[in-house]
Amino acid sequence: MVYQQTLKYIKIILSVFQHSLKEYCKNKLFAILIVFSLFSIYASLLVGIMAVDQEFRVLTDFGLGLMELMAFIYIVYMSAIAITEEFKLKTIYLVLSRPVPKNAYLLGRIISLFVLAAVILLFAGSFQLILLKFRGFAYPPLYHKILLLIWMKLAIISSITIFLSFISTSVITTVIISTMLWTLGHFAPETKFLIEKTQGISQIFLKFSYLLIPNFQLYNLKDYYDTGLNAYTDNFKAVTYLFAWVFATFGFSAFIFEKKES
Amino acid sequence: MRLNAIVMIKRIYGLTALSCIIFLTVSFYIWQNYKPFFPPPNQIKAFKTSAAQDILALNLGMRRLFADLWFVRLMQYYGTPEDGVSIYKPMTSEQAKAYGGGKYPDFFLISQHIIQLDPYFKNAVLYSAACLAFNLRQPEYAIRLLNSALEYLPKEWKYLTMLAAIGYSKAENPEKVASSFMPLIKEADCPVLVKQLAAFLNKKAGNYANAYKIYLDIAETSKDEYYVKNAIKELHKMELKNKSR
Repeated sequence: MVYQQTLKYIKIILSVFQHSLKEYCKNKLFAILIVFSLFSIYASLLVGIMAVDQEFRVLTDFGLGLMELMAFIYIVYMSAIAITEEFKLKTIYLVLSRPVPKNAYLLGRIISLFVLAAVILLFAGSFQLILLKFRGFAYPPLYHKILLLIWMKLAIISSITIFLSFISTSVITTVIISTMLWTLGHFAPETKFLIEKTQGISQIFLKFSYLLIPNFQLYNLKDYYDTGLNAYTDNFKAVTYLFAWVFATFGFSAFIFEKKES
Repeated sequence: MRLNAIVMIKRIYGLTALSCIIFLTVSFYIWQNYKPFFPPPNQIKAFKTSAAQDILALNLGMRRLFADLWFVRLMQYYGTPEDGVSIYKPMTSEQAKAYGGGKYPDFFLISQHIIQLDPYFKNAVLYSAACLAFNLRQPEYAIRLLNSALEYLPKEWKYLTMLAAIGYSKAENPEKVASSFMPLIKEADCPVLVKQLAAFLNKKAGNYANAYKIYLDIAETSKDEYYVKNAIKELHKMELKNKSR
């Protein structure tokens, strides 16, 4: 009985996932973004040539930076509209009028966004590797790990954006708050430095508030992959932190979603 | 039916509370154990109008990328003649002799800015220190630069070697300077400018075999057209000299 119910639950998640992924990939914005990111990575060849002997470093850094930025823009936008647009267009009622659990629907949506982020990174990453090969360079050190950590960052911000879309009033607000959290997350060392400079109650308040900011520097291997400081990217810490954020934001989103009238 | 609903609500509240506790515990653990390894923001001094770009570099987590950009700018700055001579016109023999020299007042400031953004950019540190010490005759700035880079990589032997070379040059010991560069140029990521310097100093000190090897390496591996052309020219000169002997 439990086995059958679980199987049914997984089937629902899978069908929502398949439908959502198709929808995201068919989007015109997706095509424009992919073309633009490929063009940008190609254009980074120019900067690479200007760097003369440091062409490999510059090409790798620009490619990684651009693909992260492009993937971030698309994922945040898609996460912001994933559920809210469905409510706005009332298409969600067609799904929820059937015996579809709301959390299964939400999970399917979230997983599809995670896979979408992986697809974008794999596509842009392969293109960058081809370009590097074309310029006669070897496989950059820890490249697969850098991409995996970028994907983890995108998965966290995507989960946060979905949660924010439930509590904010518009898509624009959601995107703005997510972008602020993205930048604050990368500001982690500076945040810690500033908090250590404060004293008293304000320090206690700030110490608590930074728990609610995702520490993206933990995943920012692209900034120090060849410095020998790779020990700072602890795999266990990175995965645990990812699960904590995804689990928490999913929990809260499911909670609000369940309470929402359908 | 009502009982089922109550159980369901309790389960939802319970799950949300559990996810909240797990999240806060993990987040606290991560932040408590997080050690920043880049210089704090108060150590980044804006260069002219770079403040907005620096903020962007920090906010997007792209310090390395922006350091790359500044390095390209530094090379463009140093590659532009100070006396307004077009780089596209062939140089006179006097201009060629003075090539690489000059005042370049912003050179140290830009180099310092690169290191403040990315203190692990070894190539930029070596390039800047070599330029400052041997081309621009500002060894005190080169030492300052190397010392600030050594704060983040205290065991970096390339920096220590460069410091030793600067020390020997101050003591006016060209042979020692030339030999101290030798371990550096064997490294794959050694800046071509340092190789060029090593070759020149070896030639000056009478170590023609070493100089020939270094010029050959530049001609074969460098992507900088100027250095490649110069290396080929020097190789021809040395071969002709050898034949005439």
